[in-house]
Amino acid sequence: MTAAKTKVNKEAKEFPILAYPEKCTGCRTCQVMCSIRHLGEFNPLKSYITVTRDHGIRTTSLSFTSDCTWCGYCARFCPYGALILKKAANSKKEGE
Amino acid sequence: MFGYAGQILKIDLNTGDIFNEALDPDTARKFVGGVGMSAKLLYDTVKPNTDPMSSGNALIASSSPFSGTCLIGTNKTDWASKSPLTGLAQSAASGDFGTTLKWAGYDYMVITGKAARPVYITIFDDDVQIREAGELWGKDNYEAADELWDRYGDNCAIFSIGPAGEKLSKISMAYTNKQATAGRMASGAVMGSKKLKAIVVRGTRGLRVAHTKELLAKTEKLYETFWQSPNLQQWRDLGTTIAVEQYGREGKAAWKNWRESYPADRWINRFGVKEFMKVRDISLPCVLCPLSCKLIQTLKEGEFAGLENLQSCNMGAILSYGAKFDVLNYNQIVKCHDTANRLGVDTNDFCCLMDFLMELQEKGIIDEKTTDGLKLERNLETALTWLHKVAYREGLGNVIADGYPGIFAALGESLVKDTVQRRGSSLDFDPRGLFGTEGFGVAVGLTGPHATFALGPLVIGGRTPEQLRRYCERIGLTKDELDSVFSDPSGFNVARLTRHVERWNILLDIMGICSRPPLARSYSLSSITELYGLVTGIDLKPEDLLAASDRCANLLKLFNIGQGATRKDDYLPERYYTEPFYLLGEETWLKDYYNTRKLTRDDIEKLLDDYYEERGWDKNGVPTEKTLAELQLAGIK
Repeated sequence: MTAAKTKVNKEAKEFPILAYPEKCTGCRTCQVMCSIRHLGEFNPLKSYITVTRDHGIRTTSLSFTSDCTWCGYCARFCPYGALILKKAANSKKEGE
Repeated sequence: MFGYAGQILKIDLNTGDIFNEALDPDTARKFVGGVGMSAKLLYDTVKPNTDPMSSGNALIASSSPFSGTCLIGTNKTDWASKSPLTGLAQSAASGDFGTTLKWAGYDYMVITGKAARPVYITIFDDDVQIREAGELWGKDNYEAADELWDRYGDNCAIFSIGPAGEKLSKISMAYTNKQATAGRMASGAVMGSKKLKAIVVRGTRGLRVAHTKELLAKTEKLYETFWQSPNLQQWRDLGTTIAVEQYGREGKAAWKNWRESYPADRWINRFGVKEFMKVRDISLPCVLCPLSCKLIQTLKEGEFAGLENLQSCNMGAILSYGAKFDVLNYNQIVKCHDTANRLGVDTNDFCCLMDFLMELQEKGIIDEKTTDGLKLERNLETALTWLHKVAYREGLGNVIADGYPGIFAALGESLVKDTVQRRGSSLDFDPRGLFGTEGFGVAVGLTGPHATFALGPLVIGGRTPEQLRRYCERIGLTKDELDSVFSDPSGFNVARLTRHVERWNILLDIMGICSRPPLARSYSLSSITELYGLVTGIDLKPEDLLAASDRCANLLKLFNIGQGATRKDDYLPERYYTEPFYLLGEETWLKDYYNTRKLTRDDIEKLLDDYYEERGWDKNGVPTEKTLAELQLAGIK
């Protein structure tokens, strides 16, 4: 079992993730990846990300609990561009 | 147990008893999960000759060992019962109910009995309750789901039925989260017969796997493979509609009761990609799916503006309402599909039945007196009128609600010859013109005539035997099996190949892997075997997993035999031998895959012999003692 990483990402001076709820499809990938990294089990509803949806269909908000360590693991796997690492977003901007 | 929740949830609606049964590790090893465990639970629970509407029938939900982990596209839930429509095993996979069930602590769920009054079930980890449905009963499928989300929050998965299921329609469906269907063969009626309106599940028990670090590393590789999939952006833009123009051009959209293909120009003008993109809205994927073949369609302008269609199978709706009812545009398709899904009517079955009745009326075999004084016309109004009449069993709708068997009983058994169906269940496509494993699968499909398990590379024309051989090597055929399939002088034997395509697709279902190509192609037999070991810690070999698939097929077959099925139930519709299909205006008959010769009834019977032999079944299609012994199923008869 991997050890849960609970330390805040010290390299980041500000919250390193950009969230776009309008792009969120509710696939739960972020929650599943967060839970396995930090809790050592697949348990999306206990992850550090809260996805609020309207009647199970459209996402209305994406937020992070106070336990969030800023590790950005969720954003690495988001398949729909709803969570993006600022570093990745900035480097994309620079490349444009 | 790693990878498994380790429990089977059993609910008896006769007594209200709810109990958990520990999952036996040996059973998990032999049947693995998904449809494999569904077949086992169905065989053990539903006795021979059970009335499918009786309390003896079961509603079974099965997740897979991969469900709920980080493995992409592994969220299939297998729903199984004895089908009220065909009387055979039913197994339909859809949506993320099983994944959520697993997070709640259960790999499988078996519901038997019948409630005295309408009920629904809530499963919140170990808090499982049967609750009075009250005013939920009578609500449409969407209203019921919305009401339950209001009560229990949006993090629940909901499996529910509409009025058609409540009224025991044999062409009704149940839905996960309003948009994914346990389609075909009357899952709605099984729920309705149990007076079960809905099941709500939310899980926070969590799931551990045997080798987390290694599994995460493999998951990253899986994503890499997935992001390189061919046509990925098209899949994400169009979902199942990806093939809409190809279907039109190749004449795969049938109408006029499977007599001819829909006019290609009209099809592309009305339903082509340009038109679809006008209604395409956001993606609505299953849990942990990076593909999302499901796309909400929202009408931004014109007729029914503001309406949205949530249902997953866009292509099925276009083939049904677009072709068979000849509706004018996507606005009308969305209206029809939304209506059917709210009512809980199976769109494919409904449209095929109405197409058949429209042909009878066009030919003067039935008049307007039979159809409640109404002319059956190929248009929106007829579709909407009869969707309601069927769902609420009004007038002739009461007959249509019982599917082909209901129509034969009411209007005459002689009509059988004018239908394109097997054991009362309608088809997805017509194999006249391109007869591959999907076509032969119509005759032998263990869960009905649909292409589910027989869908393979022959769905596209022009495959060479060399290409097929490479495919067969990838899906695990041994040298002897390859020789058996490819020793045929025509290049390959379609019946023998069907048996192996089925083995592969059943294995994908067992592992919960979605059949959409960008997802299914991310996995191979060796990677599935390795991942199963990482998830569960159980050391199985590729041949063990293929054996689990064969165990499933044999148990489904034994189940069907126990319910009265014989060789006579493995057949192609009579019309294939007696009438041509007009494919883009050209007369087309049932021919071999390479179109070298017409196939007769005798040819199909010979292919049936080959299929049975390849499966290790006798001439009557009964698994032999030797086959059962090899699969460790000896004595199960």
